[in-house]
Amino acid sequence: MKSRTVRFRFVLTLVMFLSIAVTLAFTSVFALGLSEDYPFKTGDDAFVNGVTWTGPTEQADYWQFFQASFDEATVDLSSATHLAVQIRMDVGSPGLTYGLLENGDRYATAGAPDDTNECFFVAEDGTVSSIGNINFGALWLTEGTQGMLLLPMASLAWQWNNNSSDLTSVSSFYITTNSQYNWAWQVTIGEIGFYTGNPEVDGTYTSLLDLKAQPKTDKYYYDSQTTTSLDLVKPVYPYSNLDTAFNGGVNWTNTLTEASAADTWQTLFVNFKNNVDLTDAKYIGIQYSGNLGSPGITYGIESGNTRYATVSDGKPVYMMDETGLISGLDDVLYGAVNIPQDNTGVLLIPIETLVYQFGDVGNTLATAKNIVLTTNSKYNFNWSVIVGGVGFYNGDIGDEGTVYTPIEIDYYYNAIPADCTMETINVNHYPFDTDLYAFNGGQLWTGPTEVSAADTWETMFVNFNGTYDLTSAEYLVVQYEGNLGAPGITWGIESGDARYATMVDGNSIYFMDEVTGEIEEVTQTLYASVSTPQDKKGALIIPMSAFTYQFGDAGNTLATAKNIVLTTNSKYNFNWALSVGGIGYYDGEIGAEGTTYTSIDVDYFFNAGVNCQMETINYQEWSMAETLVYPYRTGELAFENGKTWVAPATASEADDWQTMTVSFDEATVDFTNASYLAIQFDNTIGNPGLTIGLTSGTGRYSIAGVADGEAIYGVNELGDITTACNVLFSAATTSVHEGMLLIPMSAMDWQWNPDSNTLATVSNLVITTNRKYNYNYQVTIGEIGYYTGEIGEEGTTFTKILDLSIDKSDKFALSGDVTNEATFINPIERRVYGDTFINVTGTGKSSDNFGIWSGGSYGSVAMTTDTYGDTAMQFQATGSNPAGDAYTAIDLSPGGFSWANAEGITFWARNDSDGEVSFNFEVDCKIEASGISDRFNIQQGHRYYLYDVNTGLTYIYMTKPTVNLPVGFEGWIRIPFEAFERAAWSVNGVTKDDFMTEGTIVSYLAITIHSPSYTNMAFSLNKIGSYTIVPQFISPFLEPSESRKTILDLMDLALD
Amino acid sequence: MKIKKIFIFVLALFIFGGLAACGQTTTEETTAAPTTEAPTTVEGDTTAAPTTVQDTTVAPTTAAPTTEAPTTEEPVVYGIPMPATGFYMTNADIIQLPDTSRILVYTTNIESGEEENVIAIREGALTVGEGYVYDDEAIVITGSEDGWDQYLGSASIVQGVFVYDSVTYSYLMAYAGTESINDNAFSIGFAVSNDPSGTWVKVGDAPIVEYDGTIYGETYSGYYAPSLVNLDQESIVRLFFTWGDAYGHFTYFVDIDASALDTIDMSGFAMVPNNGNLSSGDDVTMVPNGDFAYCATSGYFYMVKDYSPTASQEPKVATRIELAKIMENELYIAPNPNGWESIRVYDFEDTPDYAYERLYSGTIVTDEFGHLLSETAIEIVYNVSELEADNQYYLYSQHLETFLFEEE
Repeated sequence: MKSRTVRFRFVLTLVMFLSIAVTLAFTSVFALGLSEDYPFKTGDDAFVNGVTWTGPTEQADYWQFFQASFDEATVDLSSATHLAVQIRMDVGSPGLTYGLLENGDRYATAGAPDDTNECFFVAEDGTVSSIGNINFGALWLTEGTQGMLLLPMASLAWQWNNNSSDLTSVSSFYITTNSQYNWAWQVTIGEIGFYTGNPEVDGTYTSLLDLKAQPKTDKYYYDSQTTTSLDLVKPVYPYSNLDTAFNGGVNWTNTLTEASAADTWQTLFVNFKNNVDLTDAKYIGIQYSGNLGSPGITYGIESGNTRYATVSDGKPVYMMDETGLISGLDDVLYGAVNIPQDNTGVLLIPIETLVYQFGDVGNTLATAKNIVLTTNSKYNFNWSVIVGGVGFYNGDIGDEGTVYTPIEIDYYYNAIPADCTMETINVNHYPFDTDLYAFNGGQLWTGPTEVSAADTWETMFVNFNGTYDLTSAEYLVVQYEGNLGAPGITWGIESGDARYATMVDGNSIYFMDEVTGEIEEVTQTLYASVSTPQDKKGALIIPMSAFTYQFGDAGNTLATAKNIVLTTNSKYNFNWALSVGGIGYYDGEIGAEGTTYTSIDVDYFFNAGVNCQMETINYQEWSMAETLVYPYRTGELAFENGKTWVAPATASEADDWQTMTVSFDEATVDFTNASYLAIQFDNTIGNPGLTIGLTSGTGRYSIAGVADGEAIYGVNELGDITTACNVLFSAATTSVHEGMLLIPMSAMDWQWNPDSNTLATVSNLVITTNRKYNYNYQVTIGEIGYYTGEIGEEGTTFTKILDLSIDKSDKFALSGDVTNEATFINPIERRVYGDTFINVTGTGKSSDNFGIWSGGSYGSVAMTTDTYGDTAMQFQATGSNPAGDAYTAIDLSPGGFSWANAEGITFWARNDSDGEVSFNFEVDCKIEASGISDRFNIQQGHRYYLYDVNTGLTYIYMTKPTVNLPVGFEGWIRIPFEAFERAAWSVNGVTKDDFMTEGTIVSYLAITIHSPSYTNMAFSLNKIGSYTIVPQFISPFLEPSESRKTILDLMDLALD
Repeated sequence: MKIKKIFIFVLALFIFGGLAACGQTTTEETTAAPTTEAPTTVEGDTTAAPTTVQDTTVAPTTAAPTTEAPTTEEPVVYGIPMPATGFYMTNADIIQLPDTSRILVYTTNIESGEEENVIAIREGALTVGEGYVYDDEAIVITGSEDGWDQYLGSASIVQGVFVYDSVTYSYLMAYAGTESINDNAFSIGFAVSNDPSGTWVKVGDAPIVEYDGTIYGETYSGYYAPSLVNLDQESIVRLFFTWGDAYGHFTYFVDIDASALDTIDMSGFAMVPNNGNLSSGDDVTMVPNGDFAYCATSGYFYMVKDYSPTASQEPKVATRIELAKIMENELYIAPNPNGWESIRVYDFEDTPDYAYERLYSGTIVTDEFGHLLSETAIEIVYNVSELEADNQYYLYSQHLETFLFEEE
């Protein structure tokens, strides 16, 4: 077989000319035709509007049959020299019989003698090749072949001709094949035509089935319809088919219920952002949906003052539905196009259908400025249509080089709003909040500013609260903002120890814009990562199919997904920042009917990036002054005559509401004009979640009466106002110490109010908490008052409603609905010792208040008294746990207080044993902004102070790596923060440089004792806090002075 | 006879690992911080047994004394004398009196080939242009028979005004002693004298700074390497010493009003800082075997100390010594901002003919009060020793050499 490239347009050589009379001698050596181009569409979508015929999957003794009728009922092919069939052999290489039907007679390859009659194939680039002679009445094309089957009419012959047919009235083309021998194949058939004359020389092509503009599904028949199938080849619909597809478009509605009395031209202008050159356009596309009625609308394009419009009747128009099926609409009539109600898709207006209507004829479509829809409400009223995007095709749809170019719309303009309304479409499935607080609670994850020298994987975990079954999920959705750069992030999902991640390149990743809700393909996975552009803010949508197994036990399916994991290599990705907020998933196509979105409750974020920082997003719109004049007493006696609410040390099994009520100096107080409730407040121990309200009659006005999220403010004794918390689960969990809670009255509402009591008769403050969740805390309440007006504005007033300058213990009460174990103590214990502020004491506590780690060695806690007669804590290790750790670990405090900017930790201690005893502090330092914390403890080789109250001697000892209490020691110890290092196993991201700096709090405090070394060696601690001034060592040579202050001096211990 | 052994300190550390975590018990359920799993095991103590030197049971062979009278006059020896064969000189302390004479205090063995330490003194006179000529050795402190100081370590002296048992003395000595035959668990006591080469009176029958082996461990070095500075040049002295225990060897000091030694007024312990740019091969920089000098003018304390860790082959002593200084106030505060400023590290390349891989136990030649003579020319006397690998009697190769640091 010989072949060579032949381009119909150009003559390369003329080898021979054979007339039809000698067609049988037609050889593989073709001459080149000048007369016409390759007559079909080319390229990947060349068969758009054609059909794919899929054969049986199994062998069967059955003659399969396919028929394509022509545009005309019958065609005279008696003069045809070649039958031309656009064909693509998709699967297999079956032997197919090709032929023509006329009156039931068949003129086909099946009538040809074996191995005698040659047939040809023309590739889309014009290459002509022989496909050999017909054998067994059939021809074979190689799988993957796409082009034109060129059947010399002379190579065909009558298979049967019972009606004396003569090819003058041919109705159809057909294909048959015996699935006894040919199965598991698929062939696509496009357009059909014929040549008269040699196609290479002067042959003329005539179409028999023209599919350039639209498919013709009624032209096909196939059998068996049970073992074979026939599917239409559709173009790609250029818009989304989701219910968000028309977002940004308008719903144009004629509100008239009766026809206008006179001609009234309703007009909608779709104005382009820039002039568009439409001279090469073949179809104008208008995204359209007919909601109500079928108004006849004239469509036009304006260029300058010139309009080209569908004003010429009889011109064709088409509609592509959302599946890509193109159908012909009624031709233009009365200058208008009628689209039936409920049709949704793209109106396709051939450019020839738009004819000059008016204006300067010199204005061509090279400067198109808008699309105009007009309709006369004298004839068209009470209709509603949606117009979305517009664009144009530059060629036959499907042909190689043809693309749909959307035109950027500036705005829509409704000319006669009196008769028509125009409403912007904004169907928005965006699953997250979009306000300024939308990302609150999420994390800003910031990468290193410098590239890493070697592979360095930075990781952030977003841990779910529990596990989620993602097996039915279609899309994972992550609230995302690209703050800086476009780092390549590998997204993963972990289930047990297995991780599924975006490991396969080439998967499309989508993004839903926060504002418009529009979804776009934002990128594709590359190098197993997703690079989301900077400034993208919205929902990152990752198809679940993009997650493939990465490592771990593959038996762990996504039925128990526990987190998502973001990883990136700082060798390649640096100087970036991104925000992650909420997480969720869709179980189907977004916006499709039946698809639901499920939010995933995030437990906590965890930054495992050694070079990354994580910061909690907590946007607050400050609406009040930053400071106020602190209205209560300050200093050591600030809470005198107040009450410290001492909660039970243990939780309850079931709900057990504990209540503290505080009544006022007057029986009732009028809060009608109050703007803020102001409570002198101190989280003495712990940070319980408290529901705060006011009682009026039988009603309660409370923070539980409004939705979560309201801001509660904290004020320190300097008057600095900060956001103490946002209400969560109807409770306020704050870190306020020695200050005031400032609760906007707007952050409260009636939790219940059966008798419609008013704020004019508020009788008491009521604070409740559930012992099931909140226990082992101490909260101190002092004076109470309220503000009117906005803080910081002129005219604001403060009214104190509980003055505690004298004892008013009868104003305070405690109760519990199940247990009544809470107690009051008077907050008179000294908290401020010169440069020292005490955070943790034994006051009000019993041994039950101290948890001893069950995984460690054994220990005990007893209550004792310190040098000053105050309740102190006595600890001792009581033996090694053979199955546990060598250390006895005892909780001291859940923290919640700040040691920021202090010099170190200080405490009273006494060695109650006859040997030197040692212990270490375990301190969790938490960065409030990011929420991350790490464990720090004392390391070896640092110097710390001891001041013995009995001998008056000061020591500077070395940490070994613990606090060592010499035999007989009783006094105060100061350990500089410098002595603390992060525990080796604690790598959440809080560094030594962060330790106890501004913005950090102590989030846990405990001690550990090496049990084998110090079994039954008791020691006592109390008054644990922080100091702010470095003391001086004193000796016979170094006498105390104003510039050489000892611990005794610095703490004003003489006061005790 | 008590068998003495060369003093070797042992560097053994208890390494306490990460400590256990416990759950939070009073946290609002809905706002609980993430629970991170704490490690379940903690590194155990890694207590190294003290390394002891094998007793030398064979006395070195010594030549019989010459009975014939010398036929020529002995040459004058300038500089620190070499010990006689079978003797060693270690752990020196030198003060220079206003008349330029010097008092050299050191540890030696009382008999050739034995290891029973005694404290000896030689007084030196300066010959301008030639150097110091030292007198014969005077044994001034020996171990008690049954007291706390049966076995002796090193000593340090200063001049001042010290009253003990109603007698006023002009010299105060601090020396290390122990009951332990293994030279462990040293404590530090005082002795006083008015004649350095003459009689010294031990102060009391108990140490001034007593190491409690029952608390801190009998097998550790205890308090050793005393170094005295007379702060006010009268009676207020600062006693530096090294505290060697399971956690390493670090230097502490106490201030003592020694004006009335029958009723000593003493401060608490203060650890000397170990930060700054000191040379160290340890995870935590140690400050072992330091000798101190005070410059009241500039407000600096100077120190020469051993490098740590020590050699692993005998003699297991330091291979470098380091001269450093620190601002006085940094001794009294924690944390101290700057720490030590290293001035110079000396190693074997600085020894005579590169002959000694072991150099240790340096001392700064000070004035009579332990104050620095000059900040620009600091004389350091230090120990060298041959290696066991080269000389099985290396113990008796220990002698003193001198560096002179001059600020460029």
